[in-house]
This record gives sequence, structure tokens and C-alpha cells, in this order.
Amino acid sequence: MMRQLILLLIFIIISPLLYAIISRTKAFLVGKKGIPFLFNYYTLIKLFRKNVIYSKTITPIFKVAPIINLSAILLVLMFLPLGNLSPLLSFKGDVLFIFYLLTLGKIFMVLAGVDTGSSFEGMGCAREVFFSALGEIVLFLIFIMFYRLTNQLELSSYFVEGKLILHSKATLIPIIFISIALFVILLLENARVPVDDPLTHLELTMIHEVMILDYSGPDLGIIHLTSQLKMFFYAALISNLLMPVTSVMSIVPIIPVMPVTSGMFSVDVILPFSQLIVFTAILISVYVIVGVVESSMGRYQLKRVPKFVLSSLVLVVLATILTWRG
Amino acid sequence: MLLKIKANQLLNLEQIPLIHFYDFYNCILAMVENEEAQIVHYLGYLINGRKMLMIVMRTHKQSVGELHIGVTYAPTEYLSFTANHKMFQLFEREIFEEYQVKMLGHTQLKPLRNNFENYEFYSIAGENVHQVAVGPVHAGVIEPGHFRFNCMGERVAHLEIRLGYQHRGIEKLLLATPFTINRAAILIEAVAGDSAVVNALTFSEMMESALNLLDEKNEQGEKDEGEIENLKMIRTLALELERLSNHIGDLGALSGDVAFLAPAAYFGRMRGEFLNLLLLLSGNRFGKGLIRPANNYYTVTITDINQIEKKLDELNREIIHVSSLLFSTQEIIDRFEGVGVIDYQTALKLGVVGVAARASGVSYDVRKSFLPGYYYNLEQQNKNINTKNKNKNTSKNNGDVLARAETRYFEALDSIRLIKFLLESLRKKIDQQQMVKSKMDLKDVNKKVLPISSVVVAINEGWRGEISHLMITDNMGQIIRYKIKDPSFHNWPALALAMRDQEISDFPLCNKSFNLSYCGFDL
Repeated sequence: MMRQLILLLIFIIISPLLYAIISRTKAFLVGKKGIPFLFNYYTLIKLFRKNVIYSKTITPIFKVAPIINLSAILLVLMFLPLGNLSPLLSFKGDVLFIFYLLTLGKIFMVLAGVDTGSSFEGMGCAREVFFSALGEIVLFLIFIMFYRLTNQLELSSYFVEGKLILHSKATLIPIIFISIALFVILLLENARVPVDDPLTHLELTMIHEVMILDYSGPDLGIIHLTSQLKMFFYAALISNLLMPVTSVMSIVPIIPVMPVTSGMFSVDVILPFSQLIVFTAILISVYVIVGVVESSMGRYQLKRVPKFVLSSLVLVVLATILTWRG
Repeated sequence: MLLKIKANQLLNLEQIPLIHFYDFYNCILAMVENEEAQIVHYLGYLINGRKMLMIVMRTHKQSVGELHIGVTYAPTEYLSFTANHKMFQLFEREIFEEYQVKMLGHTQLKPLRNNFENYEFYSIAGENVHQVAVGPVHAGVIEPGHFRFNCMGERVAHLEIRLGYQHRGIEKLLLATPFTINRAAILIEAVAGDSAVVNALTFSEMMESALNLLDEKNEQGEKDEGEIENLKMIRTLALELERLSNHIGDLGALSGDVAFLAPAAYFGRMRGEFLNLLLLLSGNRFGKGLIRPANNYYTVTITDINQIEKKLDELNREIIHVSSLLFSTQEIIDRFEGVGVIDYQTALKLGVVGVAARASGVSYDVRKSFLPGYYYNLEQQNKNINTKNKNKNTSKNNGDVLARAETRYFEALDSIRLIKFLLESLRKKIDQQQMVKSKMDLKDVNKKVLPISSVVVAINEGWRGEISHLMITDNMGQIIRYKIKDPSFHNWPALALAMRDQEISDFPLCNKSFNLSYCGFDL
């Protein structure tokens, strides 16, 4: 249990670093130098040092929303398996709990956006709610399918204990389909291109960014941290799914480290460690792919976004059909 | 009847027939309705305590443009032209604001640039309509302007644009006595930073004809045609470089608005390269301080020409390359196509000018219609800007964002071709005399006195479109009215109209595709 806790803390701490990978990839692909890897930490430190300015029209909801959002995502991360390690917390039916926790955070952010009374923040909220409602359909379909295959309702069971069953029943192609669908949801939920543009300054086109226009100082810092953690959550979900099953894992990456095994380290330590490396590698590549997608395509017109999101639904349905065995 | 004049023609006020307002009104209506006349200037001024109205219209015979000028005493109120012809809308609002002439039947008769205390926005009633107010302070570092949308969900029913936040009273500052050309030129260059060259050029051409500078004889008693030609060539070079840098910058900004990173980054860099060429030519990245009446403050050497030419070849290749990336990406075409459409008829009715007009199929281009400056010589040499690529595929002219982007791209290529031709001609001159000196050996221009009771209209094609200055002097030779008209003055209403029935989230894209000047409008 201690190991999981430490590991989770490490990932929480490096999530701003991982987030910088996207910017670096984008910069690299268009021939720019890009931000330093520690840039997001500087931003966070800068923001946490600042004062907060509140508009006169707000209610306390505006003030508590970032905290609630951050707590929700931290709690969600405790349910998240990392690699093939089981999570800190888990109970029957936690899948629903997790996704409603995420929604709870979002609801508060939306309420805070509406709270400012600004018309374009209101528009942003409307867009955010509409699009994430579409995303929810896809996510739930994915978990209905997982449930059908494993008969389990814990998130950890899809990625740790029951993973063998999932992978054997679903085989490679449905898993890839699901990963792509999850990737679309990742782009949607984290306000990335082609759904939203995190770089834009155009308040009329923003979705996610416009809701937080009135935030400043530490509140804004919390919001940035939350979105970095959220990105990590979805990227880790995909990595978990794509992570090879333990039996395969134990053979391949251990070979080069064999001599060490006989020495002071036991297989017990080495095995999760090598798995962790594979997990992190997949995780980083998810971030890199986000960067590649962002630099190779433009943003969709807002009315095209539902089509884009729902096209991932098609993939999930296809995966369900492929795994249908009476 | 209105008097037919030429651009940059020095006119005595008495030459213009002072007609009764009734004739003035009917004549203009007839011109607009029968000859498709477009408006260049419509302004009020005070002379001997009397309010006057002056109008400058343009008509076209084949591709040759003609200017017509008319003057009348201003009535206290009259049935507005705007009631029937929307192209007068902002001009009449301006006169209403500055000279309190009341226009009946004008739909939006309210202040234009200041006096905003009791300003009422147009609002649509109804349960589903909500208003979105954007600006004047925006989330990005852009100029201030207020946009008021009446929306139904994401759909824009009406957009009203209120500007004037940068009103500096430039036209009034120019009237300060004693009038010195150097001071005025610096002010003129500050009208709109991105159009410094074209404004300075228009001002200089106007002063040259008002003070008759270019006809001046040197010591030997003959006009130095070569010097004048050099002067015009370097000015044209600067003007085209300004056009290039802005068109390329716009293409980059358009791709940035749809989050297409690669062209945004490349075009952004290329814009800088063009500005650096302008720096090489003039010592200032925006070409400020280069053009003065009868003077260019910088000389061109053979190394400059070689350097510019080399860089242009490089950039030409890159522009074609990056544009093919931009215009062949599906999502981008999808974003650009059919958004913010101004069709041919609407463009004519609104009197849209420049890139936006040409994207809608209105072929008006001052460089071709009025042949100002060196464009006249180019026409003589049969090298006019578009003759070479007449058969090449140009923009589809359907007036959407895509058409405006493509028009910019093709015009940028035309400009490069033109600059190359200019450089060739300059090189020939340099072979003869080592260095092109364009600084004319004139006596202090500042000491000259402006002609009395006169009017000059100067017109040029800036990168946004037709830019025109008009100057009126009184019987003491003092300027009593200096009118600057930025092309944006014609085009802002087109942006408002282009947004009808569009998604509100497409507004930044539409706005960028027009890329109009706020400060050029505010003055």
C-alpha cells in the first residue's frame, strides 16, 4: 500500500512536467525551441505567490469551485491503478463513483463560470456541458462493455486483477479501438485541439478556457494543476489499457537485468520496477501523441465537435460487436 | 453636376461649382443608381462660419477610375442617403457627430467615435435572444473595440461594432499652426502603425502636388526625371513590402485562429523577414521615416538590392510551400469555406474596398484604376501587376474567409513579382551611377506656403484597400480640413454583415480575415 501511495505522489508531482511534454512536442514539430520542461512549475509557483482578485458579483461558489475540483481529481486518482499495481482505494461499483466525482468537479467549475454573470463565460459553460454530456455516453458505453466482459464493477479490475480476462476476451483490435475512443475523450475533456484550443486568446471560441477567465492568482494555479492532473488521469487510463498483461511482462524486460536479480535485488522489486518503466513509456507516448495531433491539425468548427466525439462512439460499438460472444 | 477631377490634382475651391443641396442630392443619387458610383469621401467642413458638405465619388469606365467632387451648403436636416444606400452609413454618422447635420431615415444615427454617454445599442427583443458584449478590453493583446452580439444560442442575429476608443483627434492635430511638413508626416505615420508607409506616401503625394514640388527645376533649369523616378520606385518598393508583410502576417494569424500551428509559426517568422527588409530599406521595421514629400530619406545601394532579391527568392519559395500546406488541409478548408460570406452584390452596396472586395469579386484596385505614383510608369511599361498571371488560378471570389485568405496569398505573390521587377530596374540605374540617390536636392520644403483656397485628393492602395487623404485650405493658405479615410471605414459594416447567421465562435476568424484597422478608423 505504501508503494502505491509513494508512486501516486510521484506521478502527481511530475504531472506538470508531463504536461510540458505536449508543448515541447508541438514546438519541436514546428521548429521552435519550446518551453523549458520545468516551465509549468514556474507558472504554478508564480501564481501561488500572487494575490487573488474577485469580481464583485460572485457568490462563494466561485471561491470554492477550484478547491472542490482539485479534491475531486485527487480522490479520483486514488482509485486509479498505475501500471499493473492495484490502486489505493477500490470498492464494488467505484467506476460510477469515479466518473461522477469528475462530473462533480466539472459542475462546480461550470457553476462558477455562470456565477460571474459574464455572457461569454455562460456560453463556454453551455458548450462544456453539452460536449461532456456527449463524452459521457462514450465513456459509459466503454465501461458497460468492460462490465459485460469481466462481470466486475471496480476500475482496478479492468486494469489489474481482471485484466487478463479482459485482454483475452477482447483481444488486441477491440482494445485498440477502445484506446482510440478514450483518446478522443481525453482530447475533449482536457480541452485540446481539435476540440478546443488551449493557446487561443479568443474568448468567443474558447470552451474550457473561457470559464476560468475570471480566476486569478492561487485559484488559477489550482485550476492549472487540476487540468494537469486530469490530463494525467486520462493518459494513465489509456496507458493502463495498453499495458501488456503481467505474464508477458515478466519475461521480456527482465532479461537484461538478470545479473542484478541474483544480487541484492529480488525479483519482487525488479518486476514491478520494469513494469513501471513500460507504463511510464506508454504514458509519455500518449502525451507525445497529443502534441503530434495538435500540431498536425487545425481546430474543428464548434458544430463539428459533436460529430468528432460521436465518431469515437462508433469505435466503441464496433469493439463491442467484435467482443460479442453470446 | 459634380466636377470630374484627377487624383492628386490641385484644385481651387472656386473651380468646384457650389450647387444647391437639392441638386447635390439628386446628382449623387443618380450617380449611385445609374453609374454604380462609389463613395471615396463625404465630409463636412466649416468655412467662414458656414457648414459645408463635400463629397468625392468614384466611377469606373472599363478599368479606368474617375473621381468626381461636389460641394454644397449643409442643410440642417435632410433625408439620408443611407436610407437607400448603405455605403453612406458611417460617413453620414460622422457628419452627424461632427457637424450636427440631422439625417432623416438613417437607421443608426448615433455617435461614431466619442460622445458615448447615451449610446444605445441595437437590441432584438425576444426570449431566446441574448446579448454578448465583447471588449473593448480583450483577452489578447489586440486593439480596443466593442462588439455587441444579439445571439440566439450560438447563432448571431446581429452584430454591432462600436469603435472610437483610440480617438486621438489626429485630423485636428494636423490643423495646428504653424503647419510644418515634418510634424504632419510624423502624425500621419501614426494614424495606423501597420499602414505607416501607405499613409506617408499618400500624404507626400498630396503635398507634392499642393506645393508643386516635383516640377521644380534644378540649377541647370531642367526637371530631373531620373531622380523623380527613383523616388517613386523606392516608395513603391516600400509600399509593396508593407503589403507583403501584412498579407503574410494575416495568413499566419488566420491559421493561428484555427489552431493550425505550423503555418502560424512559419508565416509569423516570414512576416518578420519582410519587416526586416523594410528595415534594410528605411531604417525602421514599419517603414516610418522613409517617405517624405519630395524626399526618400534612405539611399539604395547595390548590396541592398542583392540582399533583398536573395531574401525574396527564398521567401517566395517558402510562401508557396507553406500556403500549399495551409490550403490543402481538410480541416482548414472546412473552417474557412462558406464562413463570413459577403457576396458580390452586398460588397458593391456596402462599398467594400481592398482585399475584402476583391475576395467578393469586385475587381477595384487603386493601383490599376488610378495608377498612382510609379504604377503609372509600370502601366506604361506594360508590366502591370496582374498581367502576368491573368491565366493562373486565382481565388474563387465567393467572399468567404477562404476567398479572403486566397486573395491575400495571390496578392502576396503578385507583390513579390512586382518588387523583383522594381529591383531589376533599380539595378540598371545603379550600373550607371553606382548608387541610387533619391534624396532630392530641394530647398527646405518646410518654408513653402500652401496654396490658398484649394483642395487636393490623394488616393492610394494600401494593403487593406483604398486609402485616401483630402486637404482643404482657406484663403490664408491654412489647412481648415484634413480628412483621412482608412479602408476600414468602408469595411467595418461588411464585417458586421458577414457575421449574420454565423456561429458566434467563428467571429474571431471572420474578424481576422478582414483584419481591419481600429486606430485607422478612430483617428
